[in-house]
Amino acid sequence: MSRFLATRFALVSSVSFASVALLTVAAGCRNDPVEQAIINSLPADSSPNGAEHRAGQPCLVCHDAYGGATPFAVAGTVYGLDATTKALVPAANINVTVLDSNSGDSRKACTNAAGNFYILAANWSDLTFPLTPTAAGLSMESLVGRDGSCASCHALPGASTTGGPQDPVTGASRDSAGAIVVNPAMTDPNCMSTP
Amino acid sequence: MKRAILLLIAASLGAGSLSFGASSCITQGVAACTDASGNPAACACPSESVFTGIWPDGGPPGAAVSEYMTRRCGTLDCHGTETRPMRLYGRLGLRDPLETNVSGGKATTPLELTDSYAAVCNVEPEATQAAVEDQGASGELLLIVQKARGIEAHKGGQVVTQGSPGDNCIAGWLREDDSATVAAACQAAINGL
Repeated sequence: MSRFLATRFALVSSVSFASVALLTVAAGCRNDPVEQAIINSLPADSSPNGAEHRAGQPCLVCHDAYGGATPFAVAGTVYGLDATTKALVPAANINVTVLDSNSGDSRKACTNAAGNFYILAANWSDLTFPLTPTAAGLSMESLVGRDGSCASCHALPGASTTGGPQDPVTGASRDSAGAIVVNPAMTDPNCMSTP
Repeated sequence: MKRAILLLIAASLGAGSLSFGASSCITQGVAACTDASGNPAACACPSESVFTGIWPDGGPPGAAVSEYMTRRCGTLDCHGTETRPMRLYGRLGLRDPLETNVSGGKATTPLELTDSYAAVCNVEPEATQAAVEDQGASGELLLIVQKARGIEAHKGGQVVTQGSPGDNCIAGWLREDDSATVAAACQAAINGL
């Protein structure tokens, strides 16, 4: 009887040890406090996961090796201004071209109904920086130094927390260039045919 | 007794670290070094005019070192980030907290140029002073050059190749090359971006 109990105890102990070890390994995959804090600070989003979710948020926070979602090379959200209210509205069917200034290589993407666009990391494995993006024919004045998430620098109104004045329309502030705003009428016919 | 001695040593080390931390605390401007007489003085740094482009007489044609560095290094996702060392300010990047400008707004201000100059000089204040004292002979050994060339580990990777316009802009300033040569290199580097 006592032998049976000892065997059983040893078995339970082994399983417990293995479980703890597995949990530790799993937890170790998401132990970056900086990245995790950014993920935790993202505003809630009611739309279901998909190409139109979390518009205006820094995509690569989750869409990278740490976040675990399908990795992106570059992704962001493009807006237009409502003709009447002058409020930000998603700009759909806009052609976004991203040029790798080092190699001269480029990729194109189209914005969807939420204004979101993305270029999969798998489709640009040899990407280097800096990048020069163009949206609806408008080239970015500065360069993208290293962050593929447009919204890391192009924060929406109210998103910057460093204080100081903010542009009420775009949200441009001391540490943010504000939302990416283009003429929403500058759609690309090739984008419209994209399913 | 042994324990008491160890505690005393530990306490002394702690106090030493604290006093070092306090004396090397820099709020604004170029860090403090010591002059030839051993008195505290601002660390020497290569020409502020070549870096900022602010010249009493207009300066040479071309661009300032700061123009190239803020454009290539000072983007909002690199050295234009509040939490990153060698913080650079400029019109298309981070704006100075003592002013009320927004990114992409009004032109880079004199205060931003001065603060960027201090940020670059303060990466290695003593070594930068040494480069000034040896007339730029050790300028290329500074971290700014070594990181830009990708010789030292740099999160942003290799930014310039040795002898390229960008390299001649930054290293040329630190080597104290002729101001017209540096300005022309900086302009060529900007044109190539």
